Amino acid sequence: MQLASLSYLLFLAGVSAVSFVTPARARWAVLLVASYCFYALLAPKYTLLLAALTLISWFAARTLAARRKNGRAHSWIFWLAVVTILAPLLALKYAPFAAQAVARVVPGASVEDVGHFRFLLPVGLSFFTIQIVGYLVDVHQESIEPEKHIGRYAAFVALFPYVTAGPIGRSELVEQLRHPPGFNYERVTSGIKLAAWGMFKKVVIADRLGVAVDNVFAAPDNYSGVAVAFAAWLYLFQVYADFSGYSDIAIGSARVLGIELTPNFAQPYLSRSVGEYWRRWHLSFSTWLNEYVYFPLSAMFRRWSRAGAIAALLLTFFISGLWHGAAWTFVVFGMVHGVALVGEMLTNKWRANAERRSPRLIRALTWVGTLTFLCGVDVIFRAPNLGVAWAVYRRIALGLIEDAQFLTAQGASPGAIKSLLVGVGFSAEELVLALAGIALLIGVDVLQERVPMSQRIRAWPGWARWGTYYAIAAGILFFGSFNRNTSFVYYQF
Amino acid sequence: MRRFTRSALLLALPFLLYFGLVVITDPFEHFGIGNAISHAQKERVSGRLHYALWKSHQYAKSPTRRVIFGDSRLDKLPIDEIEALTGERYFNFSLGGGTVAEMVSAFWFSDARAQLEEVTFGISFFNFSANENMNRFIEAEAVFDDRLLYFVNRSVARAAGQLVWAEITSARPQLEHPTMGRDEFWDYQLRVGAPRIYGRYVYPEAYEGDLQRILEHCRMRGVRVQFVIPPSHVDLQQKVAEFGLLAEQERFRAFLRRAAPTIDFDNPSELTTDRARFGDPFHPMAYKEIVDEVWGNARGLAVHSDP
Repeated sequence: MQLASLSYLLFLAGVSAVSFVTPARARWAVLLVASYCFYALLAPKYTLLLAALTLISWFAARTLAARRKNGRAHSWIFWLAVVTILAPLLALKYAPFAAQAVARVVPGASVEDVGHFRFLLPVGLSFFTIQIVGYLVDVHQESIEPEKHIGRYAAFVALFPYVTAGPIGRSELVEQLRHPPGFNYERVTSGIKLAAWGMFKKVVIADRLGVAVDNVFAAPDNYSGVAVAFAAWLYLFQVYADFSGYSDIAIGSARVLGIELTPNFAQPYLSRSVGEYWRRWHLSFSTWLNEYVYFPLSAMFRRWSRAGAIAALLLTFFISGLWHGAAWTFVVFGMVHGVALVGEMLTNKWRANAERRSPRLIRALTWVGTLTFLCGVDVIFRAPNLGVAWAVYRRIALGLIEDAQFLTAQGASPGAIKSLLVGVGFSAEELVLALAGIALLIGVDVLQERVPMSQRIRAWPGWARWGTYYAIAAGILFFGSFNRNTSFVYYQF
Repeated sequence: MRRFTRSALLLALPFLLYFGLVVITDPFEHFGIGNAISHAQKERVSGRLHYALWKSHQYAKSPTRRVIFGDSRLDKLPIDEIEALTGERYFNFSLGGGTVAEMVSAFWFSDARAQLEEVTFGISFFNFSANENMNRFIEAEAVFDDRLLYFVNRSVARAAGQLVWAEITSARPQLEHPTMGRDEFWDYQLRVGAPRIYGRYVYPEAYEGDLQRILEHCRMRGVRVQFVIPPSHVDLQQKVAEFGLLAEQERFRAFLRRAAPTIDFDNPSELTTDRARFGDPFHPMAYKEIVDEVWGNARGLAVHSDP
């Protein structure tokens, strides 16, 4: 069951209805049963794994706290639990990658039969694993008391709006599951509106852009330089519309049920530096990385001063890249971001001085530069391997020269210009819809930057509010790309 | 809760009314119930708004064992003349602007619904390009697989609106108006159309594979396959050389000839040098001659070859 589907909408409506008529003290049970049913529909074989990791971590957290209270040694329990929780992720996600890497360098070793393990990766494993690890760290550091109720804890780990791809649940969420509130018109409609906007971003914008991106990335050499560069830019917006769309559906669904999740995005494409981008993109993950990886590493490397900070940063982004997927593309993706951040760290003063001298120009340039950098790096993120990423870069570079020569020879006629986009998979109408979708995505972010959209819309007159609701509903129904079976980009992680 | 129910109903009402309209008008005859609007009117409107959706519904209603797949060049072939010549029922699955990808999808769609006996593929060189990859059949098949999609399909919505409008105003729907004079359009097709298709030509290895799979399937099932390379005017034929694609064109022809009986009209001939027998450089108007040459005994306009 996909989050952007009618079946999910019906599922959410059913779970909400049952939850609202259930006494507050037992609502966690409704959420737990619904979450396990949801996960079982997606990955029946791995429901037991989810349950096992939940049980182990709950027991470990309780034992850890109990031993600490009694003044007995407890760190080894923490480390044992963390290693046990990480083991399935390491085995299923990274072992085949490591085996392939070893097989490449060891003469005579075979890389066959290694790749198929990747298909066994349970959906959401990367997400709920680090959520559990975060919880264990919090208990270990005494930031929270361990949850006594196994049912509520299990609901916290497996809550269906976020179990597949986040936002990564913070330990404080367990508290919300003690007494999820009943029906409240304002909260429920606010959740539905957010989920509807998320659905719009996914099916109207992301899936539409995905058609061209998939075509071009499947065979970049078949396309003009203009088409490949265009597809690279489209992917930048596709991945944002897709993931933020997913997050909005997840956050909106949880809100309907009375659970408030932390936002996952804060207008990332308005960033004017890579550092700022990471403070706005996939917030639940970047916050997790900050708290559980970067800060501990920085503390560990403190004695090396600036070199230590750089090492911590690079190591964090190496882990971030690897978390996204067991492939060299993700390692390179993470490292390029890490190196860019180091560059920004080293040029901080110089950039601040430049901005003081001509603020508008520098702001515009840094914004365009950041987006272009992200577009370029996302090529590596999207490509199935580094060879395809290289083919895309090469095609853009050489293709644009060829395109210029072609247009010079053909006199830049409308036919010649159109021919540069032939085969990307857009009719004129689809192209207009795709560009309008991108404009809407960024336009809403620009407005949202100052005042949240929900607040703005609340202040509108009734006809404008209802007009917007009808437009979003009609947009989803009539302009959604429902004809292709598309998953969320972040489901693969 | 009452307030919520009221708001939900208010939001849903226009959509429910629209869904009712779709059931009543049923623009693509998906449900096959009710006859509020005539089949002829639906063919005029829906049949032009989404060729693949219309034809797939029509074929599913009444499948035939002999099918023609192609683009606009074969779309206008007079089926009744083919049926008179052969004494067999035919269905023309050709779509305006059709691509090889669509022909392949249409073939499998037909094959799943009838015991095929004979299939004819009308493939032009400019269709046989990796960049000519549009496939409207994906949408048509998705609508077939999921009835809910029929209600929210934009072509269905447009057709429903136009059908209702035509019923109310008694106006005959005009969907395809020529926007240029014949000579102007001829020139436009050479100046704009030809660079669009030949400018980024890429030989389609994948289409060869798709057609090979169909040929193998047909061989096992005893289905007769033939290829037709429709005629284009010599003005357009010359563009192949201008864009340096003669080698690719020869490779395309050789592939078809090796694969199945091929009737190639796309050569300089009495037909292709006669501008009067073309609507524009891409579209011949000599449909009867093409039918006689492909399904009858006439010879002289095309090169016939057997593998």
